[in-house]
Amino acid sequence: MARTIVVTSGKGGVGKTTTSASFAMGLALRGHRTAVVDFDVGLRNLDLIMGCERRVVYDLVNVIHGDANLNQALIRDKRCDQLYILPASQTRDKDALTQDGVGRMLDDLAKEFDYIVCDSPAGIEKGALMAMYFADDAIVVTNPEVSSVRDSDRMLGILASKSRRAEAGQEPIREYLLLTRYSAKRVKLGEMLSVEDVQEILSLHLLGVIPESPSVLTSSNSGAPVVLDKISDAGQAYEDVVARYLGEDRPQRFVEREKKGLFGRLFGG
Amino acid sequence: MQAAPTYRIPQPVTALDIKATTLTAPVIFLHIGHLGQIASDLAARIATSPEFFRNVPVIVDISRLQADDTVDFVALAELLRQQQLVPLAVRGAHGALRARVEAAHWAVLSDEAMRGEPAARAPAPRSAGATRVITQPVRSGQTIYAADSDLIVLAPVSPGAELIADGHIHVYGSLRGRALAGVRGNAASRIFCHDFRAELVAVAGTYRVNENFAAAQLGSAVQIYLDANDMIIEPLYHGSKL
Repeated sequence: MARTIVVTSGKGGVGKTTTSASFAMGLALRGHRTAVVDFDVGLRNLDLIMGCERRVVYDLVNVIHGDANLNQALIRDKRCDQLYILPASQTRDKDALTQDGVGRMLDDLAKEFDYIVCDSPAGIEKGALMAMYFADDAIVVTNPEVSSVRDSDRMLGILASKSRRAEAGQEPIREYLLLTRYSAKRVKLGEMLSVEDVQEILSLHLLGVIPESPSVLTSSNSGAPVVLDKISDAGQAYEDVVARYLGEDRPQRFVEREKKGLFGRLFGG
Repeated sequence: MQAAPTYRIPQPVTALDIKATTLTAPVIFLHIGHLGQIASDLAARIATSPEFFRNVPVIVDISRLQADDTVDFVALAELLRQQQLVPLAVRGAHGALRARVEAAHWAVLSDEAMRGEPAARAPAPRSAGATRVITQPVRSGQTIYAADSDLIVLAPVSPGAELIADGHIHVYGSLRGRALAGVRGNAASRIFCHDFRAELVAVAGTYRVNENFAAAQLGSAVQIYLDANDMIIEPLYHGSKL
């Protein structure tokens, strides 16, 4: 049976789509058959970040309304044949989603995939609720910044009460914290919330810390998930995240400011 | 404010009016008809609380007497008056016995009167609900309302969360949201908090916002209650510094 993971936040622009792309790619690179689904109907981004925007024929809304089946809509990634993308519609909006339709679509996906990553839109209305309703796990993407922490906290309350698992009284959604756009330097200067500050409010299992990195912009401009950039700090951090999710014990690498060697200080930024 | 004018409806002039009432009176159940023993046993019982029995109308119930046991009802009435009780009625007298009781100037209560009188109809006390205990973090946007009871929270309360109770509120952790105790008017309600960082606290409608807390109170263990209409926020543990 497939595991359904929602990547959510409440706050917009914190790194949900970036995370969905890299997390799904990371799972697929390890041999797990993975589908990543864009739930941001009307503001579709996942296809851009994945670099498949020129191959979109059918989308999530087409599948839900029966205009196309899953096989017609799913796009296989050119870099990893275990990874498939189901893009959102750009011409419709979130009202086109129905809970039954989404449920049936996820059930069909579950027959063929090991992991289903749902990229949630921002907010707490229908689109976000649809994306998280059927989830088994939730990655709550948070920036170390007060309004993002407040919105993530709100989203946690909703995950605990409005998911199918909550309504059916089943084991609750497993919640993970992913801290993104983290700057160890600014934390040290006291300008930015630290991991401990965030955990004091959210009290969640920490899945990982993704450092603020120019490689994220470079990757999205070239239509590649940043996890493929093995040299970049963000890419390596996402690789650690996937490993931890699958049960490996990896130390947090980007929380402390790395000490630069002599050459780094002379020539580095 | 002027008193509303009163109007007197003219009443016919009579000397008396008769209405029904219910009466609660002690019942003396006789086991033996022997007057001497009745007198001494009665005296012993009255001696335990004489004021309670002084001039009290009593009903004598003879249903527990043996069939062949006879009672002189005239002498019984006199015996009771000597002990400063007022003989009112006899209960449990049937057939020929009724005539003898009436001849001795006692009232006779029917068997229907054997049913106990209903207790004075007091409104059923509102049973206090079991105290609600919350063990999971209370997240922003969540509202917990403990109706008719106290509320105990054993986890952090996030900013934007609301705790509401008709009784007391205890937070054994960080309170960063709102806490409203005694919302239906119970001014004796209190808020107890281990790590006080609330956005707003209220007791029975009297409230204070975070901006108006003393800086020293934040982050400490406090209790909050009303003294008249003033909100008091003081250290929870004696001797701890505020």
